[in-house]
Amino acid sequence: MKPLVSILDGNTFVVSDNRGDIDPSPTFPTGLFSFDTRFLSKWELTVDGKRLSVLSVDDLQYFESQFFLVPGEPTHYVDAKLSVIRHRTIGGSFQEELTVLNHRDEAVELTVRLNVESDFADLFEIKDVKEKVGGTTVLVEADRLRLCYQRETFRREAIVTSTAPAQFDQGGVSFALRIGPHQQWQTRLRVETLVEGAGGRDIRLSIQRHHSRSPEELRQDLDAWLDRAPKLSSDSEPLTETYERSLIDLAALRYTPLVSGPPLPAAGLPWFMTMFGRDSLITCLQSLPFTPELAGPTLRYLALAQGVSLDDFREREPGKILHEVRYGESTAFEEQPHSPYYGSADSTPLFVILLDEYERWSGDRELVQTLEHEARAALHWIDRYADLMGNGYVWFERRNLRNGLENQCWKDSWDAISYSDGRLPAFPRATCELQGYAYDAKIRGARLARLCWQDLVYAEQLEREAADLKERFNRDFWVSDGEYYALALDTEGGQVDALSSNMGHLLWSGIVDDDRAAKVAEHLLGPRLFSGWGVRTLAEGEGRYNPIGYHVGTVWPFDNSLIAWGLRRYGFRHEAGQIAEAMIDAGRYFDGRLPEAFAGYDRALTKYPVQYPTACSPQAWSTGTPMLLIRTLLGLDPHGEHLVVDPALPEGMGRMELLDIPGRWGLIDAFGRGRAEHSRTPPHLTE
Amino acid sequence: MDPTTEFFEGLNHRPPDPLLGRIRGTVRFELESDTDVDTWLLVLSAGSVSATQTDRAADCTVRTDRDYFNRIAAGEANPFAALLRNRVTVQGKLTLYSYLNHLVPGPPGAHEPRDWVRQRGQR
Repeated sequence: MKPLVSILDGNTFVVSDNRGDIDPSPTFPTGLFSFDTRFLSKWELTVDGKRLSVLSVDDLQYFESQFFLVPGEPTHYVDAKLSVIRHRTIGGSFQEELTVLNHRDEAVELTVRLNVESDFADLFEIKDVKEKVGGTTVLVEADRLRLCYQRETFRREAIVTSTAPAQFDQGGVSFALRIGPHQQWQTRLRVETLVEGAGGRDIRLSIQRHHSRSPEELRQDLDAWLDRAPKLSSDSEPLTETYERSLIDLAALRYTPLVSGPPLPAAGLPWFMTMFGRDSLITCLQSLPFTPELAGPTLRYLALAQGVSLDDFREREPGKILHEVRYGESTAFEEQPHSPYYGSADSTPLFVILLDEYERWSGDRELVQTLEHEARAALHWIDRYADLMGNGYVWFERRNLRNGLENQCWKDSWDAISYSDGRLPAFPRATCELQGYAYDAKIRGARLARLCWQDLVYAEQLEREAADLKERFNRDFWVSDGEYYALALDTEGGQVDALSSNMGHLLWSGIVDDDRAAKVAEHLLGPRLFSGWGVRTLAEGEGRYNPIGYHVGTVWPFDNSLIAWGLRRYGFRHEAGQIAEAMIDAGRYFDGRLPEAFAGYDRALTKYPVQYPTACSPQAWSTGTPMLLIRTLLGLDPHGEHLVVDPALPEGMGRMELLDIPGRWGLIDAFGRGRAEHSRTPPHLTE
Repeated sequence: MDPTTEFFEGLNHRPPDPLLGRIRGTVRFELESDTDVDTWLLVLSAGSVSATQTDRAADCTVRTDRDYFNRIAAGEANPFAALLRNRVTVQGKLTLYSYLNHLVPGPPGAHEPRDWVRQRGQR
């Protein structure tokens, strides 16, 4: 397959091959997508009936790319007498400026054609293309081509127009051209997507300000975004590269859900261009010191959609924060549960955690007061609805047996939670990191209750509950033989004893007893978990370990960023730096863009990190990873109205400066230098 | 009394809802039947909700047929899915429509999570 090129604006995006063509592919979603629907499944350019070959591709911006093409096969184009430039942008609608240049000293006559089709596939159908229930019609009009899909009242439409005179037909659009010597011809094609709502107008139009933005507006918006972010200068070129890449990618991943005003981070291209509670919350946590404007709108939106009643199909309960929202046909007809779907056990505590972290940075008490009832409902959910076994832990078991998720934690593939010998535990399951999040949510909830809600009784209650949880957790989850925390508890109270990265999150949450932290750090940086490129999701030697298994051996950058943060919290500055360095090194092989996951092969085996086959890129919480690593390395932490800077850089990293860090203090600069640090590193962990 | 009437009448007897505390606005429901269109006006104001059969313009207008709204009012159909499906049309402030989720009941027969786990043997 030819390499893919993507451009996007919110949840409208185009994925094509490197000629700019879209061919239907059942395995990877190429096409023009918007609102989880494929509006173009074919967009194929020919000149005199022949496909073109690519000379070069310029990825100008995330919303703009340019393809330089010549007719014919690669062997023939050396003395091409014709070239074609496709300059495309996306901003609400999809636009392609098509330029044909005649390099001869005589006129040429030729036919330029675009074959256009749409299958209106729901994103959920791409991997498993089904017979559509509704019907597709193609309407050929004098000045446009309309591809329409209708199923009962559900209607989607792609409308193709051209600025130059064109001949539209059922299969596309043709241009019969005569181009003079050394002259050129040009047209601007535009594809608009219609999601029909009231009065036949676009649902997005009838509801809110949703207008197509011009590339110029998008450029200005991106410049302003970059301008607001802190400036990094560093001796480490890979670090600077990955930081700058991340800022741009995070800008690209912003999207506006139907109801809400300001943009929020979507989870990732191409499969996850929508709101995921967990991904959006973690991305906001990672990026708070850099792009704090995402957190407030994310919290408000999740609060708005918080569950108020029980629903088995959507796995919804009062107080629960959503897992995923979708807009496609299968959601519309309630075949898929994403309207929204609530099948995650971590988004609810993470909601409280972000609310508190956001206040610590921004000082925005008003939002904490505004969301008091939602935060209390979330904390109540932990005890009332998540404690399925009535023993004080957070558990999950799906009630949607048709298409609900079995594992409702971040490692949500079916085989992710296993015993050391590879057996899978029965349901419900209580994974360890969920208990850490619940603990942290209670501690942070107590702080908010004291500070913003003036409810001392509630604050003390939450602190008692947190202390009790920590004590029980350290008794029940600690695997004495191996000296690590079990991945989960089973229904019998037994330990699901695989050695996994999950316990790194426990350090971040603060639920680890001080005298056990060194052992945890030793495991995380030990040869079974640490590949040299990062901490594996599952340790080598476990029954289900597979270096290219989605959650059972690959290395996830976001996971590593939380682990590094956690190590730093417990004083393991050297180890946190080791993980940060490995991630930054890995980023070099992806032009600074850390993918969703890469293989868990030992670094001695592969000279570069091997990308996981169908990994999403860019993906929001991978994009947030370099930011959280920078925060961790510089030791940035708000204390009251001040920002504490306590750098601990790896020796080889040289100098690092982060200027204009925004927060309740206004703007502050931080400096760090990589040299021998006085750390609390236990002697047996030093190299 | 059909589920629609029961739903709107019931709103007038709801205790004040803190989750709706900061919401102000009016929603007009236009419910079509074979012969005519019923209108309901929802007034959301600082936690309290009132519903009357008033024929007046509002910040947000919701239109569907009465049979379908009966299903929404009974918790059998999902308001967000209905919007995506164009089965319900909304004009004006969508935020107000999204509060309908707070007001309508969940699907009948939904399980308490703990009961669900306890009853595994019986499934």
